[in-house]
Amino acid sequence: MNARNVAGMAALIGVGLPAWAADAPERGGVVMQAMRDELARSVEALQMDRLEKPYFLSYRIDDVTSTQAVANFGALADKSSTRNRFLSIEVRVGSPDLDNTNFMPSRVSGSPATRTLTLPLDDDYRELRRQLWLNTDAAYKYALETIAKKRAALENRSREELPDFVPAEPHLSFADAAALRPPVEPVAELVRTLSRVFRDFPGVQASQTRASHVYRRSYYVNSEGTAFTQARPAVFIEALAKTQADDGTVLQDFEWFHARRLEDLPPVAVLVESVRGMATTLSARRDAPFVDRYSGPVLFEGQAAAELFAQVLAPKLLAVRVPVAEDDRMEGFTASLRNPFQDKIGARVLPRGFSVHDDPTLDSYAGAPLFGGYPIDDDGIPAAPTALVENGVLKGLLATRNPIAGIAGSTGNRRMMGIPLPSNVLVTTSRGMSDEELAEEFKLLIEERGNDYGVVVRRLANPMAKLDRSDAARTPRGEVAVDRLTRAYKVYPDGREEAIRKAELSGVSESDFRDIVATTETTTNYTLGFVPIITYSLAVTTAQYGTAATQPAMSIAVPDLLFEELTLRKPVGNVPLPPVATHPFFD
Amino acid sequence: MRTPAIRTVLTGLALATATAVADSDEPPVLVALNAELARSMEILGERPEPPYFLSYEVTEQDSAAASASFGTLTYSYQRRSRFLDVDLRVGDYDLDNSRPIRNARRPRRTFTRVPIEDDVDAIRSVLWNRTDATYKQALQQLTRVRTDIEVKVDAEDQSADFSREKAQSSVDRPARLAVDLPDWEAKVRRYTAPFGAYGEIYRASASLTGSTETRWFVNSEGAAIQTSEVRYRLSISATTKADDGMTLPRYESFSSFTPDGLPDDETVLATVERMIADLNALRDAPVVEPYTGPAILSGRASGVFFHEILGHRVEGHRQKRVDEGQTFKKKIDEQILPAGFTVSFDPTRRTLRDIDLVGAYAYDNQGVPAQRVDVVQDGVFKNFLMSRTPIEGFSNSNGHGRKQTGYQVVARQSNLIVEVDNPLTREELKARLMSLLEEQDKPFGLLFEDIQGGVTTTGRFMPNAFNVQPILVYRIYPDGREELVRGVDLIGTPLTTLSRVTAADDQIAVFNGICGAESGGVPVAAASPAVLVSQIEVQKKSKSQERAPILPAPFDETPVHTDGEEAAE
Repeated sequence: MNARNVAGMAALIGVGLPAWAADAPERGGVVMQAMRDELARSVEALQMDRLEKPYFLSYRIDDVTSTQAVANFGALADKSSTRNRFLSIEVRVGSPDLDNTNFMPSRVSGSPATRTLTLPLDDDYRELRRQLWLNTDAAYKYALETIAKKRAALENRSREELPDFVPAEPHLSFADAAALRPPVEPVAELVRTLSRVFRDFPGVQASQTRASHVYRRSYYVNSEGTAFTQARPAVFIEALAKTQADDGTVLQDFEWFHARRLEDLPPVAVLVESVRGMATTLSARRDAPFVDRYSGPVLFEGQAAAELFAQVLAPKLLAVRVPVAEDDRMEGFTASLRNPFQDKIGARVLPRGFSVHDDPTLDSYAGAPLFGGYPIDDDGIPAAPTALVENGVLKGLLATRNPIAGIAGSTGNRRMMGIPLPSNVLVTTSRGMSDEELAEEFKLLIEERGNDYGVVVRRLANPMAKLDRSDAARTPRGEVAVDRLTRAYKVYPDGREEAIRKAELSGVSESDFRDIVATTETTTNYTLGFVPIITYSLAVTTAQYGTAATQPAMSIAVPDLLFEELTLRKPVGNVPLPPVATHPFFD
Repeated sequence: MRTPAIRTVLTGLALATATAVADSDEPPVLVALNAELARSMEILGERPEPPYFLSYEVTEQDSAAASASFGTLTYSYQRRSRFLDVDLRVGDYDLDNSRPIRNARRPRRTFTRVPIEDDVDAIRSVLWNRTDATYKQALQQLTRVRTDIEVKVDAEDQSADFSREKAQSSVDRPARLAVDLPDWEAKVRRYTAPFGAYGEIYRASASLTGSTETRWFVNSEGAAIQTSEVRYRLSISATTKADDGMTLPRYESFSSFTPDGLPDDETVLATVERMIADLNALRDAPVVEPYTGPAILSGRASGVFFHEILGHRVEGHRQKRVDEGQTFKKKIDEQILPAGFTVSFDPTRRTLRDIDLVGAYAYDNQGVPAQRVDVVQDGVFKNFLMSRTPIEGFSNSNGHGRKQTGYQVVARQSNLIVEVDNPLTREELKARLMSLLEEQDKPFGLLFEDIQGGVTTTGRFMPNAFNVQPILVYRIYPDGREELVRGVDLIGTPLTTLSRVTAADDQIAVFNGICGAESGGVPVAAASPAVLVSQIEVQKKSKSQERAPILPAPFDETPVHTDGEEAAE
């Protein structure tokens, strides 16, 4: 049992008390009472005719208040303040050896795993019971249908000799705080101010500034005796901007800011300067030249190093269970889900000296905040650090209670839709250099190769941070999809830098990370909404019925990364014409 | 193929007040629209293929809603949004980029958010970006249109692509929504609480919505219009399930332009009690097998029936598209209904028998003034509903060019009103039904008392048919006995069914709803007396295969927990 400080809010210790005092709001109050009572009744009595009863049942309720504002060119375009209660149920029938999960049905659209179920907002015991009763009934019937289909599919197929569920110790933990409905005006004023910056930039065609302040309280109870509540606020601000060069090339850039609370953000003047800096860089890129093709040393700095790690390597750190497919057509798809890193445990995946840890228990690293942490994961497993890579060798993968060959058990990383996701990923090296040493190493590499210049990348695009989402890297089959390089520079041996208009990586893969030749000793903390594409496909193979539709944040701390050789090319694809008229404000 | 549907919208009532705010100079949104319109026409006018027409429409929704389920709040919010629609045309009035490419997909919906603050510079920056994108799409589309004309057979309908209309100027005073959300929340909780005592009612909700829609419209022909209208709506919906799995819904809704127009608590709670009684009765009602015979459609059922079988088929643009059924295209001056029947579409009419008609408006989405259109006079077919897309023989709009924001305008319905010269009483209508039963030797006839909505297909590929979905249906036996039944939809084809309409009574009722078709959802009303149809057909309703819950409702077997008695907050 552990007490944990939840972002400065008072935390309470659950000392394994078996009794649930109905008058103890700090233990989840009426909501938890209704969950517990309906769970007990269902475990006891829920059974369809002579079919099997559930062997596992859990409820999760996420009470989410969200305040959001959007501004364009200095004026508010939208503001909202909403509250929702989302319900997510997990019913398992059969036994831990073989249950209704890890099965990919041939029809996945409309699966209840990805549907949102909402509950009344009032703390009304009777009504919460009614909604839990009706939804449990539906979830149980769905589980029965699924296990019947799975058993039918297994008539003609064998499967990996693995159970479907690992047992877990009961765990009680309660952290609570008064419900918070963040006021919308401060958020609105902030986006107005940041968005007004673009009135000084004739070179920027379109921009959008958005801020959200979300407060989430979660309640969880399962039939193994685990129960917890947790609560966390999150503030997110983004400024997106788009322009076109004279030849029509679409150029985009963004700034993101994360905090737990509005008052934890840097001063407004600092935010304004960041947005101004982004707009300045974006405007300048309109006149920068392209590089047709480049092969040679590439240095990824700060955000670019973190984003590259998140796009290429992070998805490989997740333990993905390949589900039983209902038919041959789905089998081709499920086979492609297999993570090649599952066979590389004990093998070198990074240079010597590199270590990678996932640590949801941290709130900061090297003096800067992290936002991927949590006290307990979605299965009720207490958060704990996991060693993923040590001295360059793969040691483990992030897992849920869904067993994977070669992985010991849950690492407490179930965060969304039943899938393991990273929390705070810390990439460290034993041989980090000072910035000057790295610059010298970079220069030596350039000269060794006989190149005129090397390339440094300071900003790698993120697929979610775009006004124009059609502007994405076109990845040939078989290549890892890496987004476009938005801030890349030629660096000459004399230290001179020259911006590149836009570029993309050619044929990069996780094995390129073994050829990192040098890193800095300092790291950059970067936070992003990390949802690998497989998540949605795999959600339907879990027992989850209903989702809170969240996108959890992942933080990553990574040093600057110097690659000995990567290939860059001019982006391929159609280029739209520039606008006919100029921006009316600057006309 | 298209499937326009009329359906009840589950949004709600209100106790808000609309107060008019005095306007001073030209509204800032109109200033921004006019300035960018002039600049765009000037700059784009210098291009090799200049636009010959440009219009901007900004639609603001200032809305508030509260919704509850079984006496507990499920949501409540207040929100303002503004969206932009641009109509930019290249070519000329005779042939432009709007002409449908034969057998091509229809354009997708585009959303463009506009600042909700009256900041002229910020609004213009959005207009500029959208205009540029629309202009480029228009050029590309015109090339496709010209190619289509070259490679395909000559079009049957040689009319122009865009009509010439007189530009209108009108600035309505902006209406404002004043909302008391806690009061709304208390009301919807109160209205849904009675359902809570019934474990067999699986869904019960009520929502109360108030919305001010303000529209600003300008075009390159000189139009400048601002309209503003407040609407309130209360919707109540509840669902139960029969033992065979059939889902049985009941809906009630009330619409009004003023908060006072909505019913008081006492009336609403009486309605709720009636809904509960109906649901309990429906669960035990016998299932009707497919059947053909005479039927009476109540006023609301008839309204939706005419909306589906006639209304969607007189929308002008459907007479031009080659994939449309064009049922009435060549029926001008032909008798299609009994003498004495008049069917009109009248967006200028705001109330009927003290009920507000939600299909009312002052200007359509092309800035054309609303007009009454008599589609059927004395049983004879006369006219079509027209947008600015001309058809053979009808070269001008009659103010029915409508759309939801983000879609492209087509001809749509407004307030459908069926009137008869010599109405019967309800008793006389029933007596006629009885004699039909005897004539046709049928064991019973049907009475469609209330409906949920309807759907029709007007294309050529799928059968040209309609489906009206009833909620309350009774069998009427020759001895006059009425029996509640369930499980059927009213179906048919337009010309056959219209020819079987024989008489109407004097009990006019109104159905207010949202009609969905290719230009999105638009509010419409359908008002009609009850009609007698000599022969209708019913088919089995699609049915859920899910069984009723395994366990009884939690409060039916355990003592009610004291925490649950009072809603917190």
